Amino acid sequence: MADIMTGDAMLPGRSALAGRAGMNVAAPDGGKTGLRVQEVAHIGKINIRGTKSIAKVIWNHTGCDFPPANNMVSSAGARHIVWLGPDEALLLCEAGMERDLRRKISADLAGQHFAATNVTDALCVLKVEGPDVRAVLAKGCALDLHPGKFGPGQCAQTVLAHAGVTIIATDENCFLLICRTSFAPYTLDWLQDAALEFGFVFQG
Amino acid sequence: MGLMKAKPAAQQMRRRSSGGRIDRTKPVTFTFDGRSYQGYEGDTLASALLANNVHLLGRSFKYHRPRGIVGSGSEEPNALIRLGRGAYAEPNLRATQIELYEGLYAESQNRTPSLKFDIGAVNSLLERFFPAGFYYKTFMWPASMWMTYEHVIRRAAGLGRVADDHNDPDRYEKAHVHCDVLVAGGGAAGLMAALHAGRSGARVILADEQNEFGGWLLAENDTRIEGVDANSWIAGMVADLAAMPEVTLLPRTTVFGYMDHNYLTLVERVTDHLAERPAHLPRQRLWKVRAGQTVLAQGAHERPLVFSGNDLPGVMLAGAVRHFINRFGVLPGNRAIVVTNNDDAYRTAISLNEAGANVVVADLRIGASGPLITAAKDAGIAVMAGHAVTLADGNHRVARVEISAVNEGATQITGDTVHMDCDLIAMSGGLSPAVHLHSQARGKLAWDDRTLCFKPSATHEASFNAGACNGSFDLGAALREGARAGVKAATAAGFKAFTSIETPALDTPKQSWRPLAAWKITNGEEPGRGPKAFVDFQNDVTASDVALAAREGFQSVEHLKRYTTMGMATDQGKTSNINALAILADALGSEIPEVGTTTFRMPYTPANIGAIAARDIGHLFDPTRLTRMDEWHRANGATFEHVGQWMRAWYYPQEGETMAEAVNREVLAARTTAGLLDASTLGKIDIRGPDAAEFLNRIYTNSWLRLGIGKCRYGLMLKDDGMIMDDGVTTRLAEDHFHMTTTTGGAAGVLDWMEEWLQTEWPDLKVYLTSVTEEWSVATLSGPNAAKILEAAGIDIDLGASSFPFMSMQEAHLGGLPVRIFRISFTGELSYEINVKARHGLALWTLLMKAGTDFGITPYGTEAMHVLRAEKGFIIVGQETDGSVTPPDLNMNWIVSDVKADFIGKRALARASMSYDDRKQLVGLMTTDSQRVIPEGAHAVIDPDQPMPMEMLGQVTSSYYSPNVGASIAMAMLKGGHSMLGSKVYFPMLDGDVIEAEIVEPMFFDAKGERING
Amino acid sequence: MLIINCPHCGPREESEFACGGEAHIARPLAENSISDAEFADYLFLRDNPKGLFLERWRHSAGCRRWFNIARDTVSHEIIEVYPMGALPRKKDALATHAASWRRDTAAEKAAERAAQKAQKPAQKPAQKPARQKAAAKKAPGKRGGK
Repeated sequence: MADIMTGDAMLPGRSALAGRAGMNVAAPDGGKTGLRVQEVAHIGKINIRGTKSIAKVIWNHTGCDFPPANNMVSSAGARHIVWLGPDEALLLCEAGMERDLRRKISADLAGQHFAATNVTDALCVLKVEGPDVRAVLAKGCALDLHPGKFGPGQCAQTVLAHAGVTIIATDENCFLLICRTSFAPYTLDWLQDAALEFGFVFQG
Repeated sequence: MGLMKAKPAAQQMRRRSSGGRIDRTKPVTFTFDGRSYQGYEGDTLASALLANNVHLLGRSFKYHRPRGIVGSGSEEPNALIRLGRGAYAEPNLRATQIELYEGLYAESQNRTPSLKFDIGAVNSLLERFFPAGFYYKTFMWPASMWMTYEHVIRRAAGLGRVADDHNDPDRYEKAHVHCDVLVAGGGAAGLMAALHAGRSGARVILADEQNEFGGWLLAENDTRIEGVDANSWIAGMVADLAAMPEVTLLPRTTVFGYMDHNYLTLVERVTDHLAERPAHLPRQRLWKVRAGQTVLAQGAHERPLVFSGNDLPGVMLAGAVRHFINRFGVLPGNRAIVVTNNDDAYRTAISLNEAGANVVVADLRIGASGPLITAAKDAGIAVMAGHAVTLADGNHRVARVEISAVNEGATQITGDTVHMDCDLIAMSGGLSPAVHLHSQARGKLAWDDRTLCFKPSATHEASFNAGACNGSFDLGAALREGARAGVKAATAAGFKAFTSIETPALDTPKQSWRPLAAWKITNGEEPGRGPKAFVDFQNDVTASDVALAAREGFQSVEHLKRYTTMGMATDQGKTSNINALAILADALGSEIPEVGTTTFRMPYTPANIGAIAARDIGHLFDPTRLTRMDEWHRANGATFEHVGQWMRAWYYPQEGETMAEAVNREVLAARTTAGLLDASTLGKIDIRGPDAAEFLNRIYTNSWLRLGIGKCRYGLMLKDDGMIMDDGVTTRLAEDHFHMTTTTGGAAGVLDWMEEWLQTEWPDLKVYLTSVTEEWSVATLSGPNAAKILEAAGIDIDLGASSFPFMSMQEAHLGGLPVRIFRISFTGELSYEINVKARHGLALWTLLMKAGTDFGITPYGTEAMHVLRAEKGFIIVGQETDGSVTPPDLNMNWIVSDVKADFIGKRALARASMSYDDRKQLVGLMTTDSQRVIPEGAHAVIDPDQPMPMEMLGQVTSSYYSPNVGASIAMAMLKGGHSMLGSKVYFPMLDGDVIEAEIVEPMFFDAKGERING
Repeated sequence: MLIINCPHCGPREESEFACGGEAHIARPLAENSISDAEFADYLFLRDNPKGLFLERWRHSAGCRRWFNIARDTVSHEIIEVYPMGALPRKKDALATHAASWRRDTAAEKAAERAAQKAQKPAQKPAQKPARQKAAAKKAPGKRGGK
C-alpha cells in the first residue's frame, strides 16, 4: 500500500488536522524516534454497502475483491478495499478520484441494491510508524498486534483509547489508523501522550 | 559554610559482616519518622530498619497496639507505612516491599502524636469494650448521629492518611498485552514453568512481585541445585529466559487480578525503586493481559501461631527471619526463640545459630524428630519438644517469654513454665498456599489433612497451579510441577513443547511438610481471658473475637468475616485466614473443610487507582470532538460548552460583555439582521435502498412514502414504549435515497437503533445506512437578511420563495463552493442550513461572515440557539423530554399518523396509561415579574403556602430571558398542564422566595409564523 | 471481561460489544389485538436466569452486526454464537429456548401470526422458493430475530 501514501495529488480545502504543529517530543535516549505520525490527507474514501452480487462491478473499477476476505484489505495498485463487515467495506482511492469513481460504480450498479457513499471528508487517515508503534497502540487497543497475529494486509475495526478506529497493518512497523475527523484531534493528542516514553514526531 | 549533616546514630548494628544480596559498597541514606538511617542497595525498607534494630513500625488499626515487621514480602500485615511527602505521599505500603533508595522518606501511620507515645493506645486499656462487631453495636443508634460517629470512627480506625494534595503528580501507563502463557510468580516452580513454556516458542510472560526472580530460593543458603548454590541456579535460569525473544520478564510486577476468560491485571512498579526517576518513564504500569493459559506459581504464606502477645514487635514469621538473615544479611535479634509446629522453622533456627544468635526452639510436637531436628541439636541448639510459647511480653518490643509444656494441640499447659529473656520470636504455624488468584478465577479448593491447608482442586479458567501455591512445598516437587505446568500450558496454547522434563539434581535438607494441628495456644487461663492472642494483625482480630462472633451466631464464615472484619483491607487474609477458620471450626464443634473459606477478592495486593486510570485523565479522559470551523470560533473569542463529546461554541462575547449581554445581542441579531450558527455537529445519516421510504415510515411516527424529491420533513422517533427518543429533518434526495439529520447527542444512538431494526426485525427491507455526520460541515444562516447575504456571497440559484420554498433542498454553488442548502428553520426566521464538504467548512464560514458584514451578520452560539427556538416553542429532545414523554404529552398529535398500520411505538401509545389526565404535559410559562427568569429544573406547585412536603406538579425544562419578547419565557412539563392554560403556578425557591408564573401556550413569538419567508 | 467470538471479525474483547439483552422476543404488530397486559410481556418483561441464557449482542466497535449467543450467566461460558433470526443448534441452548415462559404468551403468538401474514403479500413468485427456505430457518417471529 506504499503508493497511496506517497501520491502527491492534494485535495483542495483544509484537512482535519491542518494547523496542528509543535507537538514533537524528542526520543528520551537521544535515539530513534519511537513513533512518527503523518496525516494522509490526500486519499479518497468511498464507503460501500452491498453483497457479493456487486463484486464484478467493483472489480471492474478497482481491481479489488468485494467483499475482501474478513479482516483483510484487497489491494490493486493505488486502490484498496478495506473489509469493515460482511456487507460493508471502505474503498480507498487516489485523491480527487472519489467523486468520479463513485459515480461510475453507481451508474454500473443502477437498479441493484447497494450504497456507495463518499466519505472522503468524514474520515481522517493517519499513518503511524516507528520502532515502538505496536507498543504505543497497545496502550489503547485491545487487539493482539503481534506481527504474527496482525501482519501487513490485515485490518480491524476496533477502539483506540476512546475513539473508534480502523487499523490497517501496512508493514512490519507501520499502520494506518482511520478515524472520524471529529475524533482526529483527540486521537493525535492521545498518540502524542502515549509516545512520550519513546519520542514523537507529527507531520501534518 | 559549616553546615553539617547530623551524623546518623549508630548505624546498621544488626547487619552481618557478610552474606546476602545487598551491596555493602553502596550505602543508602533514608529517613524514617524524621530520623536518618543508613542501609544498602538491595535492601527493602524493612530489612534496612531491622539492620538498624528498628522493630516498632506502626500502631494497630483498632487498639493502637505497637506493631512491627512480621513477614518479609506481600504477606506483611503490620508494617504499613506512609512513603514520600506532599503530593507524592502514599499510605499503607508494606515496608517489606519497598526497595530502598537514596533519600527515601517514610513515616509510621496511625499514631498521635508519635509512634512511641500514642494516645489511641488507650483503646488497648479499654479492650473489653472493643469486642468483635464493636462499631456495629455501639454506633447503631440513633441513626441521625451516624454522621457524627462516622467522622470519629474514620479518624480513629483508619489506616494511613492519603496525600495532602489530591492531584497525583506522577505519570502512569497502561497497556493491553497478549500472551500464550502467563506465569504468575517467579520462584522455583515459576522459573521452571516459564523456561519449559518458553522453549516451545510460545509467548510467555513471567511476572514476579519482587525486584528479582527466585522467590524463597533467594534466602535458602542451605540448598544447591545442579551442583551450584540456589542463587547461581536462579541467575542461570533468568539468563536462559532473557535470551528467548518471545519471553517477557516482568520483575516488580504483581499479578493482582484474575478475571473471566483469562483476563489478568498486573501492576509493574517501573520507577518506584529509583532515587532519580526519569521523566519519560511512568511511575507504574498496568498490564491488561489476555493469556491463552496461565501457570499460577505464587508460592505460599507462612502462618503465625496464635499465642498471647503474638503481635509484639520482634515476633516474626520464621521464614521471614531466615529471609532477612540470608537474603539481606540482617540478624533481627540476638536472643531468639523459635516456636513451631513443623520442621521448616528448624532451618531458621540453624540460620539464626549460624548468624551468631542464641537460639531456643519450642516445638509444639511432643515427639518431634527428623534430620533437621537432629541437625539443629547437633549445632548445639536447645530444642524443647512438646513446648509452646504461652505468653510473649514486652513494651515496644518482645523482651520475655513464657514457655510451657503443653498437650498435643497446645490447649492445656501440662507441665512447668519457664521464663526466658529474648528479643526475637520466630514463629511458624505451617504454610498456606497463596491460592488467591486461583480463587479469584473461581477455582475450587480442597482441604488437605496432611499438610493442613487448602489446595487448589479444580480450575475454572485455562490455568495450571504449580509449586507451593499448589500445596507442593517440597522443592523437588515444586521444580517438577513447574516444568510440567509449563509444558502443559504451552501445549494447551497450541505449541509443541518438550515432553521430557528434566528435574534438576537437588541438595537440600530433607524435611516433613506435615505440621501439627495447634490453632490456639493456651495461656493457662480460661478461654477469652488473659492477654490477647491475635489472628488477624492488620484488622486487630483476636482469637476471642472469632469465638465471640461464633457464640453470637455469626457462624457462616462470610458473616464472621464481615462482623469481625477479619481478612479484609489490604491484607485479604494472607496470614490470618486459616487460623481464623480453624478457631471458628473449633468454636462450632465443626471441621475446617465444613466451615469453608471466604472468597479471595482482587486485588491480591492494593493497586494504585493512578495506574488503573493511567492516561484516562484530564483532556484524554473523554474525547473532545471538534468541528472543522472550530479554529474560527477559537480565534474569535467564543466560549464553549460540551454537547455530548462535541465542543460547541456557546456564545461569542465581545469586549466587556457579560454572557447575558452577549446572548441577548446574538438572539436579537438573528431576528433583526442575520445570525450564523455552526450546526456541523448534527447527526447525518445517508439512507439508501428501494425500501428506504418504507423504512422511514416505520421508524418515524408520520408518513414518508409520498415525500417529494428535494423536499424535507420533520420527524419524531419513538422507542417501542411510545416515548420520544430523537427528532430531526429528513430530506428525500432521490426515490431511494434520503438524508436524515438527528440531534447532536443522538447521532450514534439513532444509527445503531435503525441498524438494529434493519438487522433484527426487518431483514427483508432493502436499506443501507451510512453515517455522514463528519462528511459535511454545516452553517445555519438565519434572519431577515439571510437571502441577501447568500446573494452577496455569490449564489447560483434563485432564492425566491416559490422556486426555493420552505422545507426543500437545493444543490448550488456558493462563492464557488459546491453546497447543499436546506431551507429549514429552527428559529422561525428565514433560514438556510448550508452543507459543504467538510474540507471547505472553514472556508464556508469565513465566506459567509465576510459576505454578511454589511448585513449585520452575527455569529451565535448554542445558548442563543436555545433561546431562539424556545421563543418559537420548539422542543429539544433531552431537554423537554427525558425518556418518559410521548408526542401527545407535547401536544404533537399532528405528527403521529393514525393511518399507518404500524410504526415503532404505535401500540404502546394506545396503552391506557398513555391517556391519563395527570401525565406531565408541555406548557409555556410567563412570569408575573417579566424580568425574573425561573431556574431550569424548578418545581411547580399550585399553592406555595401548603405544608411541606409540597405536592409537585412538574418541572421547568427550558427557561430564558427573551430579548425579542422583552420578558422571561419558560417551558415546563406539568401534570395535566394542557388543561391549565391561564392558571397561575408557583415556584418556591430554596431561599424562601416564590416565583409566580402564568401557564400559556408554548409559543412566545410570531405565533402566526409570518417570518419564515423573511 | 469476556471474549466474544464475533461471527464476522473473530474473537474480540467484551468492551467492543453491546449487549442487547434477551434474545428471541417476537414483536407483535400494532394491529394485533392483544391486551395491555399481554403487550407488557413483550415490552417490559425480561428474563434474568441463573444458568444458560440466550441473548443478543452487537459488535458495536467492529462490524456493527447483531448476533445471538448462548451464555451461561454463572460460569460466563459462551457455548454458542449463532445468527439473528436463527435458533441455536446446541441441545441445551435449544431446550432453553423451548422452555421459556415466553413461548406461550399472547404477544409471541400474535407476532408469529403477524410474521406469517406479512410474508404472504411480500412474496413475489420468482423469489418464492428462496424466501420459504429463509422463513423456515427463522424462529417464531422475525425478531427471534431480535
